[in-house]
Amino acid sequence: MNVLAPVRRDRVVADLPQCFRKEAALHARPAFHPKVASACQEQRTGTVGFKISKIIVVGDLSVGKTCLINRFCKDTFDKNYKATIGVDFEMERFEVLGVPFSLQLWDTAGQERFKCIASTYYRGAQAIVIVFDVNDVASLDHTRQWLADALKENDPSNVILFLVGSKKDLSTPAQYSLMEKDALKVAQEMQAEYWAVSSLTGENVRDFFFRVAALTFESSVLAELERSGARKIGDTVRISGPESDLYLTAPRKKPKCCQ
Amino acid sequence: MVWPRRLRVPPSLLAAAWALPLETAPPPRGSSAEAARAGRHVAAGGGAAAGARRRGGRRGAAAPCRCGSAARAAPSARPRPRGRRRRRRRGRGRSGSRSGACRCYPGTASRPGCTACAWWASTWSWARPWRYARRRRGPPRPRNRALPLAPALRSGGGSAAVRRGNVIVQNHQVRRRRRRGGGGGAGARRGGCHRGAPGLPAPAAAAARRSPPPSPRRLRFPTSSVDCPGIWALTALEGCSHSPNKRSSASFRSVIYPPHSKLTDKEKTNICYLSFPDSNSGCLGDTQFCFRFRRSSGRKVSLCCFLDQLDRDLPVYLKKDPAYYYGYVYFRQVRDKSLKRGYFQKSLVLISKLPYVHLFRTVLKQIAPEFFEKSEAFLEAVCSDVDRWPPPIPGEILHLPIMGIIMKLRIPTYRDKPGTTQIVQNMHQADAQISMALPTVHEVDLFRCFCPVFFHIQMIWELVLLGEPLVVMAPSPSESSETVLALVSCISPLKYCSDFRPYFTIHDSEFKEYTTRTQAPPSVILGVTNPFFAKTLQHWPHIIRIGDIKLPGEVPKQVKVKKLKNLKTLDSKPGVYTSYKTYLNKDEEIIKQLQKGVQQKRPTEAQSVILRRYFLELTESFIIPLERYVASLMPLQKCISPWKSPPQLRQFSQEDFMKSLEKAGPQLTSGLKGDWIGLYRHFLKSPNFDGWFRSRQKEMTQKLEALHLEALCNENLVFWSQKHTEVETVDLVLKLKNKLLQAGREHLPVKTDTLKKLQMHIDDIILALPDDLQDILLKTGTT
Repeated sequence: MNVLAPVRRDRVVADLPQCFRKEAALHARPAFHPKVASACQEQRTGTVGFKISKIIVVGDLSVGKTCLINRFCKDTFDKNYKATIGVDFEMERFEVLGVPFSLQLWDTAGQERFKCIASTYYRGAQAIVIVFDVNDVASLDHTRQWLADALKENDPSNVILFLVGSKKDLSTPAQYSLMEKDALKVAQEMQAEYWAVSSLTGENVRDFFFRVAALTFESSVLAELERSGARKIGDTVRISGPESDLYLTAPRKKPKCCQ
Repeated sequence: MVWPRRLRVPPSLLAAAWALPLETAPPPRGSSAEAARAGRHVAAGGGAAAGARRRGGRRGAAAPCRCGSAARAAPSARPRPRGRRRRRRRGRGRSGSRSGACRCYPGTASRPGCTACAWWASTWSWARPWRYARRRRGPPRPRNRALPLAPALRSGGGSAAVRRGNVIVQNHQVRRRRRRGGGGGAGARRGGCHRGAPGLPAPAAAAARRSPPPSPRRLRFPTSSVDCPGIWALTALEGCSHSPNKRSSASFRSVIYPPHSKLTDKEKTNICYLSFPDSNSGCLGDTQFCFRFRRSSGRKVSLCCFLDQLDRDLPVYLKKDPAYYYGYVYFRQVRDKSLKRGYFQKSLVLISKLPYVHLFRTVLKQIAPEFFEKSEAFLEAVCSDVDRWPPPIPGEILHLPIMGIIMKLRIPTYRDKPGTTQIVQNMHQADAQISMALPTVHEVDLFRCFCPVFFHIQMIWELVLLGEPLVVMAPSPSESSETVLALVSCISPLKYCSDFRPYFTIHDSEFKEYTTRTQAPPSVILGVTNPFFAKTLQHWPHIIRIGDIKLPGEVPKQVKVKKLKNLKTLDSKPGVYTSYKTYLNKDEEIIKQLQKGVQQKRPTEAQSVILRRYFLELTESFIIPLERYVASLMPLQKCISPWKSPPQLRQFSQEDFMKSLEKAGPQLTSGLKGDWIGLYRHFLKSPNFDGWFRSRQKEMTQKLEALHLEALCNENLVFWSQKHTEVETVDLVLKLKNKLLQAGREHLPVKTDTLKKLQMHIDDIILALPDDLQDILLKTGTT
């Protein structure tokens, strides 16, 4: 019983979107993992199609987390600051390589007073987007703390990290290039992929979210394939074991008797 | 006041349709933090501030309101201002600044108004700060016992008559003695006693648990949804175009939410008592239950047209009853040595118009434990989550985010085939952490509830069907509430039309009305826990007594119906106490089937499904002959003439109906033998029949009106008007306009083009009239 609306046409991902900086990228492959591509072609993606991936967006107060999401999901930008209470929630549906795929975007509050409850929202995330303001060095420093908090609730080996500098339109090119150096260093340290965006102009926002969608999709298909692969291996082991031989002979005998 | 961009309605209204949480707690006496917080203004029943102010209040909640800061500075020296005055002052303090951290929420005191269900939290205590303040000079009265659980009696803004400490104390004692009818007096004065405290007869001890004069220490209605749209109520529609299901929000905006109204003092008092276990309470640990209470009369009727529309598509047993609210409670009582009281006792309550027991239970289970451990910001965050919920549209799969998890569920519609549950497909297991699917929003575990009395299910079905007065005595509110809900749902798809209270206390405002001995017991179902009721309701004809609900596997052996006179106040055995003789013969098969299930360790869910199907078949067999007969009351199609008013339904005649039973009675669909005729005769006198017949009658009358409208449309009205005098034509136009209005107002089941056609007819007729008349007719609305 699938009553979800069809995927919007501008949410179709056919090719792997490229990374922003090669220095700090999860991987710089030009296309989807061949296994993933073939699996999608042969429609062996299992349950990924019904799957939802949870993305959490964290970062300091008023760095532009909500604006970033609003720019992408609603294509709007509100200059007035309105603090998020607890969490905002958005659902975006994509079609990656012909497979429907949903992203749950949880936009958390940056305010200190919500920190104690934020952990509730962190659990089960597949990707963590840490946002900082490219005009504010302190917000970049705090990203480490945000990451540490978010990783407490998640398995560090299974999450994809993104480090996003926002409000790019507000900084001059010279300032920006200085900041980028620092940011790249931080990103490499935390093994995150670095992006710089502007929610006001919309620069890189769409590319960024497509990249997020594509990479989370890729990793969940790979995980799915690995899981199903593992299951097969387990099966063969049982069959080739000495006990399973007994089982195999037993049913063979029966038909003989019957005949 | 400018609303946040995506809102067009006062935010408090947004919160409306789903639920309002309400935290109640008796905080430890004397702890300074608590005292400070208590000082912060929180009283109930703030002024009737417009939603606009409220918003200011919330944001501005930043700064503690004036009374708050004053109280904080000198909580003891300041006598509590009287309700009115205080409220007014608060109202002024409402328009605070928008900065800083929100600690106290001035304007929100009256928020609960969104009674449809805004969230509001409150903490009550019977430890009244002002009272202790008076005593400060002397040594505080030692009170080491933890338990007495006396929920607040009066909400903060309550009656001004009982304000001064001494008076109140006396008042309480007097009242307590009176209520308890003797026995409890001694225990009451002693403060909290455990049940069975030495030296006290048990009932007295039980009653004594209530003893400390209850009064709310604080009752705060936070905030929720100020900048984000409302509680399931319908948030997503409400404005966020970013709602998960991308519905156009604009069309619903102003109508979704009932205009907010406040909870009256009486309602608050009721909620206070109902959100804690009544008597004994071995309720250690976490307890969940639900209650239902009557709305105060004289409230403005809310304009929730949109909700009404939703209501139309609901199955009849889920339709909301405007006169009642549901409260869903999560109560926690654990030992906590760090608190003076020695126990941690708090309740989180959701108030909603919606009877979605299972849903709200799940929600509470999600939020309450974390809430108890975390700060108030948590509740605020939860509120903002719920604000974002899409409206509860029947038949759609809803995704409701709550605390980092998505709940997937579907609200049934009247079109669903009864007895089938359209289970929302369960997600992939890996997703369990981020989403969960609820199989049902309203159903309770029938088998578990009826387990203690399952030999009598058929009798119970008859009692409920006939709307007999019924009381369920259970050891704890969770059992009483579940059992009462199970009782009420056992006659679905029929609606139980009289009042039912899953949990009823001696402090309920309807206590007198329902327990009076001067009249016959009212047709209601009550769930009670206080042993005192065994005495008060001695004269009731049917009593179900339930011990602890045990795990399936231990089912009572064959039990006879017990005689009423054997019912003792205390420790009577579980069972059904009544002198009622069933009309129908006993169906051994279902009993055997269930027993077999127990032996085979069939899961309770499966047992419940069997039981539910059994009840459904029984009810349908019973109701089908009635449906058939009532359908025959409909006039023939040929009786509908456009030139006459729509024909009337024929009268319901009991004689005719009984005659029809001979040929087409329940024997066609049910193998059960017995005195069906007697059952019908009794049923025709019951409120359930009344409610059922009324709704059928309304449906059929509307159908007739609709048919009549269609007949009108197919006539050549202009031609007719040319042949008649002007007066008659004008009369026709006015009548037609009225019809149109009525069709819109009552949502008559007509095709949309019928209405358009009729409008065209009207316009044509008017155009054919002289100019001066045209003007008048075009301008005149309809009466």
